[in-house]
Amino acid sequence: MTAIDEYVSALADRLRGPAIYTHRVLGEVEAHLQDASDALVQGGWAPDEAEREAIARFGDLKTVAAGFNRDAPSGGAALTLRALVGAAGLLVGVGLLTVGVSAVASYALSRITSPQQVFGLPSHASVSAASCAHWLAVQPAATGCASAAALEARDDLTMYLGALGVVGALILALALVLRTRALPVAALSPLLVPTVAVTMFAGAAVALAVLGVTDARIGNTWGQGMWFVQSACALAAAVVAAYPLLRSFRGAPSAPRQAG
Amino acid sequence: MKGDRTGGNLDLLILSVLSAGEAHGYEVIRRLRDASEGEFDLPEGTVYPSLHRLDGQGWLSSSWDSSGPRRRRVYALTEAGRAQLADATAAWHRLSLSVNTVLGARA
Repeated sequence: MTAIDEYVSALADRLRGPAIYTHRVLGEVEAHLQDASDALVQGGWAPDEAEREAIARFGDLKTVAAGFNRDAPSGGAALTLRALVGAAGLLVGVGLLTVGVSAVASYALSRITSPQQVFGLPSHASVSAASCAHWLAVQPAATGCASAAALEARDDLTMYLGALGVVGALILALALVLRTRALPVAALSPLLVPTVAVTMFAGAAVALAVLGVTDARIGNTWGQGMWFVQSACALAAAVVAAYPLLRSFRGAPSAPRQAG
Repeated sequence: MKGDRTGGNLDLLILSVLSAGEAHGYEVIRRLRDASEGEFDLPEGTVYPSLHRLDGQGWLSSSWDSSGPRRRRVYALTEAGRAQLADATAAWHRLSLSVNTVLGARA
Protein backbone atom coordinates (compact mmCIF):
# COMPACT_ATOMS: atom_id res chain seq x y z
CA MET A 1 0.00 0.00 0.00
CA THR A 2 1.42 3.37 -1.00
CA ALA A 3 1.58 6.40 1.27
CA ILE A 4 -1.30 7.95 -0.70
CA ASP A 5 -3.38 4.78 -0.29
CA GLU A 6 -2.72 4.83 3.45
CA TYR A 7 -3.62 8.51 3.72
CA VAL A 8 -6.86 8.12 1.77
CA SER A 9 -7.83 5.03 3.77
CA ALA A 10 -7.12 6.83 7.05
CA LEU A 11 -9.15 9.81 5.84
CA ALA A 12 -12.03 7.47 4.94
CA ASP A 13 -12.07 6.27 8.55
CA ARG A 14 -12.37 9.85 9.83
CA LEU A 15 -14.91 11.26 7.38
CA ARG A 16 -18.51 11.72 8.40
CA GLY A 17 -21.57 12.33 6.28
CA PRO A 18 -23.56 10.40 3.71
CA ALA A 19 -21.77 7.98 1.41
CA ILE A 20 -22.41 10.20 -1.61
CA TYR A 21 -20.37 12.93 0.09
CA THR A 22 -17.50 10.78 1.39
CA HIS A 23 -17.29 9.03 -1.98
CA ARG A 24 -16.81 12.38 -3.66
CA VAL A 25 -14.29 13.65 -1.10
CA LEU A 26 -12.12 10.53 -1.26
CA GLY A 27 -12.17 10.54 -5.06
CA GLU A 28 -11.06 14.16 -5.16
CA VAL A 29 -8.38 13.75 -2.51
CA GLU A 30 -6.89 10.69 -4.18
CA ALA A 31 -6.80 12.35 -7.60
CA HIS A 32 -5.29 15.49 -6.08
CA LEU A 33 -2.54 13.63 -4.25
CA GLN A 34 -1.66 11.61 -7.33
CA ASP A 35 -1.58 14.76 -9.48
CA ALA A 36 0.64 16.49 -6.92
CA SER A 37 2.91 13.46 -6.60
CA ASP A 38 3.22 13.11 -10.38
CA ALA A 39 4.18 16.79 -10.66
CA LEU A 40 6.88 16.34 -8.04
CA VAL A 41 8.23 13.22 -9.74
CA GLN A 42 8.44 15.18 -12.99
CA GLY A 43 10.38 17.79 -11.03
CA GLY A 44 12.98 15.20 -10.06
CA TRP A 45 11.64 13.80 -6.78
CA ALA A 46 11.81 10.10 -6.02
CA PRO A 47 8.31 8.55 -6.18
CA ASP A 48 8.12 7.65 -2.47
CA GLU A 49 9.38 11.07 -1.42
CA ALA A 50 7.00 12.74 -3.87
CA GLU A 51 4.00 10.98 -2.33
CA ARG A 52 5.02 11.98 1.20
CA GLU A 53 5.60 15.58 0.11
CA ALA A 54 2.22 15.70 -1.68
CA ILE A 55 0.55 14.49 1.52
CA ALA A 56 2.45 17.02 3.64
CA ARG A 57 1.31 19.83 1.33
CA PHE A 58 -2.27 18.62 1.48
CA GLY A 59 -2.36 18.92 5.23
CA ASP A 60 -2.33 16.75 8.33
CA LEU A 61 -5.05 14.18 8.51
CA LYS A 62 -6.80 15.54 11.57
CA THR A 63 -7.08 19.09 10.20
CA VAL A 64 -8.14 17.97 6.73
CA ALA A 65 -10.79 15.57 8.07
CA ALA A 66 -12.12 18.26 10.40
CA GLY A 67 -12.44 20.67 7.45
CA PHE A 68 -14.41 18.19 5.42
CA ASN A 69 -16.56 17.11 8.36
CA ARG A 70 -17.40 20.72 9.25
CA ASP A 71 -19.02 21.18 5.83
CA ALA A 72 -20.37 17.65 5.44
CA PRO A 73 -24.01 17.73 4.37
CA SER A 74 -26.41 16.30 6.86
CA GLY A 75 -28.48 13.50 5.53
CA GLY A 76 -28.32 10.50 7.76
CA ALA A 77 -31.28 8.21 8.05
CA ALA A 78 -33.65 10.32 5.93
CA LEU A 79 -31.21 10.43 3.03
CA THR A 80 -30.51 6.70 3.29
CA LEU A 81 -34.23 5.97 3.40
CA ARG A 82 -34.87 8.04 0.28
CA ALA A 83 -31.93 6.37 -1.44
CA LEU A 84 -33.32 2.94 -0.55
CA VAL A 85 -36.74 3.91 -1.90
CA GLY A 86 -35.04 5.02 -5.11
CA ALA A 87 -33.05 1.79 -5.33
CA ALA A 88 -36.19 -0.27 -4.68
CA GLY A 89 -37.96 1.68 -7.40
CA LEU A 90 -35.16 0.95 -9.85
CA LEU A 91 -35.14 -2.75 -9.00
CA VAL A 92 -38.93 -3.15 -9.10
CA GLY A 93 -39.08 -1.14 -12.32
CA VAL A 94 -36.39 -3.23 -14.03
CA GLY A 95 -37.97 -6.43 -12.69
CA LEU A 96 -41.43 -5.61 -14.02
CA LEU A 97 -40.00 -4.36 -17.30
CA THR A 98 -38.19 -7.68 -17.66
CA VAL A 99 -41.49 -9.48 -17.05
CA GLY A 100 -43.08 -7.39 -19.81
CA VAL A 101 -40.22 -8.05 -22.21
CA SER A 102 -40.47 -11.79 -21.50
CA ALA A 103 -44.22 -11.63 -22.24
CA VAL A 104 -43.58 -10.04 -25.62
CA ALA A 105 -40.77 -12.52 -26.33
CA SER A 106 -43.00 -15.45 -25.36
CA TYR A 107 -45.77 -14.19 -27.62
CA ALA A 108 -43.31 -13.75 -30.49
CA LEU A 109 -41.94 -17.24 -29.94
CA SER A 110 -45.47 -18.66 -29.95
CA ARG A 111 -46.07 -17.04 -33.33
CA ILE A 112 -42.87 -18.56 -34.70
CA THR A 113 -43.45 -22.02 -33.23
CA SER A 114 -46.94 -22.69 -31.91
CA PRO A 115 -49.04 -21.49 -28.96
CA GLN A 116 -49.00 -24.99 -27.50
CA GLN A 117 -45.20 -25.22 -27.46
CA VAL A 118 -44.95 -21.98 -25.52
CA PHE A 119 -48.23 -21.75 -23.61
CA GLY A 120 -49.44 -25.33 -23.73
CA LEU A 121 -50.97 -26.99 -20.67
CA PRO A 122 -48.62 -29.42 -18.93
CA SER A 123 -49.30 -32.94 -20.18
CA HIS A 124 -49.90 -34.14 -16.62
CA ALA A 125 -52.38 -31.37 -15.82
CA SER A 126 -55.94 -32.40 -15.03
CA VAL A 127 -58.54 -30.17 -16.64
CA SER A 128 -62.20 -29.96 -15.74
CA ALA A 129 -64.89 -30.14 -18.40
CA ALA A 130 -66.12 -26.71 -17.34
CA SER A 131 -62.67 -25.19 -17.99
CA CYS A 132 -62.49 -26.82 -21.39
CA ALA A 133 -65.94 -25.51 -22.26
CA HIS A 134 -64.93 -22.02 -21.18
CA TRP A 135 -61.69 -22.01 -23.21
CA LEU A 136 -63.43 -23.35 -26.29
CA ALA A 137 -66.12 -20.69 -25.92
CA VAL A 138 -63.63 -17.81 -25.72
CA GLN A 139 -61.26 -19.28 -28.32
CA PRO A 140 -63.56 -20.32 -31.20
CA ALA A 141 -60.57 -20.82 -33.53
CA ALA A 142 -59.18 -23.58 -31.30
CA THR A 143 -59.16 -27.12 -32.58
CA GLY A 144 -59.63 -28.71 -29.18
CA CYS A 145 -59.38 -28.25 -25.43
CA ALA A 146 -55.57 -28.23 -25.32
CA SER A 147 -55.37 -25.77 -28.20
CA ALA A 148 -57.97 -23.50 -26.59
CA ALA A 149 -56.14 -23.61 -23.25
CA ALA A 150 -52.88 -22.58 -24.93
CA LEU A 151 -54.50 -19.74 -26.89
CA GLU A 152 -56.30 -18.48 -23.80
CA ALA A 153 -53.09 -18.64 -21.74
CA ARG A 154 -51.23 -16.80 -24.46
CA ASP A 155 -53.80 -14.01 -24.68
CA ASP A 156 -54.22 -13.61 -20.92
CA LEU A 157 -50.54 -13.87 -19.96
CA THR A 158 -49.41 -11.57 -22.76
CA MET A 159 -51.94 -8.96 -21.66
CA TYR A 160 -51.34 -9.21 -17.90
CA LEU A 161 -47.56 -9.62 -18.00
CA GLY A 162 -47.30 -6.98 -20.73
CA ALA A 163 -49.27 -4.58 -18.52
CA LEU A 164 -46.81 -5.29 -15.71
CA GLY A 165 -44.02 -4.39 -18.10
CA VAL A 166 -45.67 -1.04 -18.86
CA VAL A 167 -46.05 -0.37 -15.13
CA GLY A 168 -42.37 -1.30 -14.68
CA ALA A 169 -41.33 1.11 -17.42
CA LEU A 170 -43.30 3.91 -15.74
CA ILE A 171 -41.80 3.15 -12.31
CA LEU A 172 -38.33 2.99 -13.85
CA ALA A 173 -38.80 6.30 -15.65
CA LEU A 174 -40.00 7.94 -12.43
CA ALA A 175 -37.14 6.47 -10.40
CA LEU A 176 -34.60 7.63 -12.99
CA VAL A 177 -36.03 11.15 -13.10
CA LEU A 178 -36.03 11.47 -9.31
CA ARG A 179 -32.85 9.56 -8.50
CA THR A 180 -30.43 12.48 -8.30
CA ARG A 181 -32.41 14.75 -6.00
CA ALA A 182 -35.48 13.25 -4.40
CA LEU A 183 -34.29 9.63 -4.46
CA PRO A 184 -30.46 9.85 -4.39
CA VAL A 185 -29.56 6.24 -5.14
CA ALA A 186 -25.91 7.28 -5.41
CA ALA A 187 -25.90 7.84 -1.64
CA LEU A 188 -25.81 4.07 -1.26
CA SER A 189 -22.78 1.90 -1.82
CA PRO A 190 -22.33 1.76 -5.62
CA LEU A 191 -22.28 -2.04 -5.53
CA LEU A 192 -25.43 -2.49 -3.44
CA VAL A 193 -28.03 -2.17 -6.20
CA PRO A 194 -26.10 -4.32 -8.71
CA THR A 195 -25.50 -7.00 -6.06
CA VAL A 196 -29.19 -7.15 -5.13
CA ALA A 197 -30.17 -7.10 -8.80
CA VAL A 198 -27.81 -9.95 -9.75
CA THR A 199 -29.03 -12.03 -6.82
CA MET A 200 -32.67 -11.30 -7.63
CA PHE A 201 -32.47 -11.95 -11.37
CA ALA A 202 -30.12 -14.93 -11.18
CA GLY A 203 -32.38 -16.49 -8.53
CA ALA A 204 -35.43 -15.85 -10.69
CA ALA A 205 -33.67 -17.35 -13.73
CA VAL A 206 -32.92 -20.57 -11.83
CA ALA A 207 -36.43 -20.78 -10.36
CA LEU A 208 -38.07 -20.19 -13.75
CA ALA A 209 -35.79 -22.76 -15.38
CA VAL A 210 -36.91 -25.29 -12.74
CA LEU A 211 -40.54 -24.45 -13.56
CA GLY A 212 -39.74 -25.00 -17.22
CA VAL A 213 -37.99 -28.33 -16.66
CA THR A 214 -40.88 -29.60 -14.52
CA ASP A 215 -43.43 -28.08 -16.95
CA ALA A 216 -45.13 -26.56 -13.94
CA ARG A 217 -48.58 -25.10 -13.63
CA ILE A 218 -49.20 -22.39 -11.01
CA GLY A 219 -52.93 -21.65 -10.91
CA ASN A 220 -53.84 -20.24 -14.31
CA THR A 221 -50.21 -19.78 -15.33
CA TRP A 222 -48.47 -22.43 -17.39
CA GLY A 223 -46.42 -22.92 -20.50
CA GLN A 224 -43.10 -24.72 -20.64
CA GLY A 225 -41.77 -22.50 -23.42
CA MET A 226 -42.90 -19.40 -21.53
CA TRP A 227 -41.04 -20.47 -18.36
CA PHE A 228 -37.84 -20.93 -20.38
CA VAL A 229 -38.25 -17.57 -22.14
CA GLN A 230 -38.80 -15.86 -18.79
CA SER A 231 -35.77 -17.65 -17.38
CA ALA A 232 -33.64 -16.45 -20.31
CA CYS A 233 -34.87 -12.86 -19.84
CA ALA A 234 -34.09 -12.98 -16.12
CA LEU A 235 -30.64 -14.36 -16.89
CA ALA A 236 -30.03 -11.55 -19.39
CA ALA A 237 -31.03 -8.99 -16.75
CA ALA A 238 -28.66 -10.64 -14.25
CA VAL A 239 -25.79 -10.43 -16.75
CA VAL A 240 -26.46 -6.73 -17.38
CA ALA A 241 -26.63 -6.07 -13.63
CA ALA A 242 -23.36 -7.97 -13.13
CA TYR A 243 -21.42 -5.59 -15.39
CA PRO A 244 -20.69 -2.93 -12.71
CA LEU A 245 -19.67 -5.68 -10.29
CA LEU A 246 -17.23 -7.17 -12.80
CA ARG A 247 -15.78 -3.72 -13.46
CA SER A 248 -15.32 -3.22 -9.75
CA PHE A 249 -13.62 -6.60 -9.25
CA ARG A 250 -11.24 -5.84 -12.10
CA GLY A 251 -10.33 -2.65 -10.24
CA ALA A 252 -11.08 0.38 -12.34
CA PRO A 253 -7.85 2.39 -12.05
CA SER A 254 -9.37 5.66 -10.88
CA ALA A 255 -12.48 4.48 -9.08
CA PRO A 256 -12.79 6.38 -5.81
CA ARG A 257 -13.06 4.24 -2.71
CA GLN A 258 -15.95 4.24 -0.34
CA ALA A 259 -15.74 5.48 3.18
CA GLY A 260 -15.04 2.64 5.57
CA MET B 1 3.41 26.26 2.36
CA LYS B 2 2.63 29.40 4.31
CA GLY B 3 -0.75 28.71 5.90
CA ASP B 4 -3.90 30.57 5.03
CA ARG B 5 -2.98 34.19 4.30
CA THR B 6 -6.16 34.89 2.41
CA GLY B 7 -7.64 36.78 5.34
CA GLY B 8 -10.95 34.97 5.14
CA ASN B 9 -11.31 35.74 1.45
CA LEU B 10 -10.67 32.27 0.12
CA ASP B 11 -14.18 31.93 -1.35
CA LEU B 12 -13.77 35.18 -3.31
CA LEU B 13 -10.36 34.09 -4.56
CA ILE B 14 -11.68 30.71 -5.69
CA LEU B 15 -14.53 32.35 -7.59
CA SER B 16 -12.00 34.69 -9.15
CA VAL B 17 -9.61 32.02 -10.41
CA LEU B 18 -12.52 29.98 -11.74
CA SER B 19 -13.71 32.98 -13.77
CA ALA B 20 -10.80 32.13 -16.07
CA GLY B 21 -12.40 28.78 -16.85
CA GLU B 22 -13.39 25.51 -15.25
CA ALA B 23 -10.79 23.57 -13.30
CA HIS B 24 -10.37 20.69 -10.87
CA GLY B 25 -9.23 21.29 -7.30
CA TYR B 26 -5.52 20.78 -7.94
CA GLU B 27 -5.65 23.29 -10.79
CA VAL B 28 -7.58 25.80 -8.65
CA ILE B 29 -4.84 25.64 -6.02
CA ARG B 30 -2.12 26.03 -8.65
CA ARG B 31 -3.88 29.08 -10.13
CA LEU B 32 -4.20 30.63 -6.68
CA ARG B 33 -0.51 30.09 -5.98
CA ASP B 34 0.62 31.38 -9.39
CA ALA B 35 -1.70 34.41 -9.46
CA SER B 36 -0.56 35.47 -6.00
CA GLU B 37 3.09 34.82 -6.90
CA GLY B 38 3.30 32.25 -4.12
CA GLU B 39 1.66 34.34 -1.40
CA PHE B 40 -1.44 32.12 -1.27
CA ASP B 41 0.37 28.80 -1.04
CA LEU B 42 -2.38 27.20 1.04
CA PRO B 43 -2.52 23.88 2.85
CA GLU B 44 -4.10 22.22 -0.15
CA GLY B 45 -6.65 20.21 1.79
CA THR B 46 -8.29 23.39 3.04
CA VAL B 47 -9.43 24.43 -0.43
CA TYR B 48 -11.78 21.50 -1.07
CA PRO B 49 -14.29 22.26 1.71
CA SER B 50 -14.57 25.78 0.26
CA LEU B 51 -15.15 24.34 -3.22
CA HIS B 52 -17.86 22.08 -1.83
CA ARG B 53 -19.49 24.93 0.04
CA LEU B 54 -19.52 27.18 -3.04
CA ASP B 55 -20.90 24.27 -5.05
CA GLY B 56 -23.65 23.78 -2.48
CA GLN B 57 -24.52 27.48 -2.61
CA GLY B 58 -24.99 27.25 -6.35
CA TRP B 59 -22.11 29.58 -7.15
CA LEU B 60 -20.17 26.71 -8.69
CA SER B 61 -21.30 23.67 -10.60
CA SER B 62 -19.28 20.48 -10.59
CA SER B 63 -19.15 17.16 -12.35
CA TRP B 64 -16.78 14.22 -12.70
CA ASP B 65 -14.45 14.31 -15.68
CA SER B 66 -13.21 10.88 -16.74
CA SER B 67 -11.52 11.95 -19.94
CA GLY B 68 -8.01 12.10 -18.45
CA PRO B 69 -5.83 9.39 -16.92
CA ARG B 70 -7.72 9.69 -13.64
CA ARG B 71 -11.20 10.83 -12.69
CA ARG B 72 -11.38 14.40 -11.41
CA ARG B 73 -14.14 16.62 -10.08
CA VAL B 74 -14.23 19.71 -12.27
CA TYR B 75 -15.68 23.00 -11.02
CA ALA B 76 -17.13 25.83 -13.09
CA LEU B 77 -18.49 29.23 -12.20
CA THR B 78 -22.28 29.49 -12.55
CA GLU B 79 -24.16 32.63 -13.52
CA ALA B 80 -25.07 33.09 -9.85
CA GLY B 81 -21.38 32.64 -9.00
CA ARG B 82 -20.40 35.23 -11.57
CA ALA B 83 -22.86 37.70 -10.03
CA GLN B 84 -21.56 36.88 -6.56
CA LEU B 85 -17.99 37.42 -7.75
CA ALA B 86 -18.91 40.84 -9.13
CA ASP B 87 -20.65 41.85 -5.87
CA ALA B 88 -17.85 40.54 -3.66
CA THR B 89 -15.17 42.17 -5.81
CA ALA B 90 -16.96 45.53 -5.62
CA ALA B 91 -17.31 45.14 -1.84
CA TRP B 92 -13.62 44.29 -1.56
CA HIS B 93 -12.61 47.39 -3.53
CA ARG B 94 -14.82 49.58 -1.33
CA LEU B 95 -13.31 48.07 1.82
CA SER B 96 -9.80 48.31 0.44
CA LEU B 97 -10.33 51.96 -0.48
CA SER B 98 -11.74 52.77 2.94
CA VAL B 99 -8.92 51.02 4.76
CA ASN B 100 -6.32 52.76 2.62
CA THR B 101 -8.01 56.09 3.21
CA VAL B 102 -7.92 55.60 6.99
CA LEU B 103 -4.32 54.39 6.92
CA GLY B 104 -3.38 57.29 4.64
CA ALA B 105 -5.00 59.79 7.03
CA ARG B 106 -2.80 58.55 9.88
CA ALA B 107 0.40 58.77 7.84
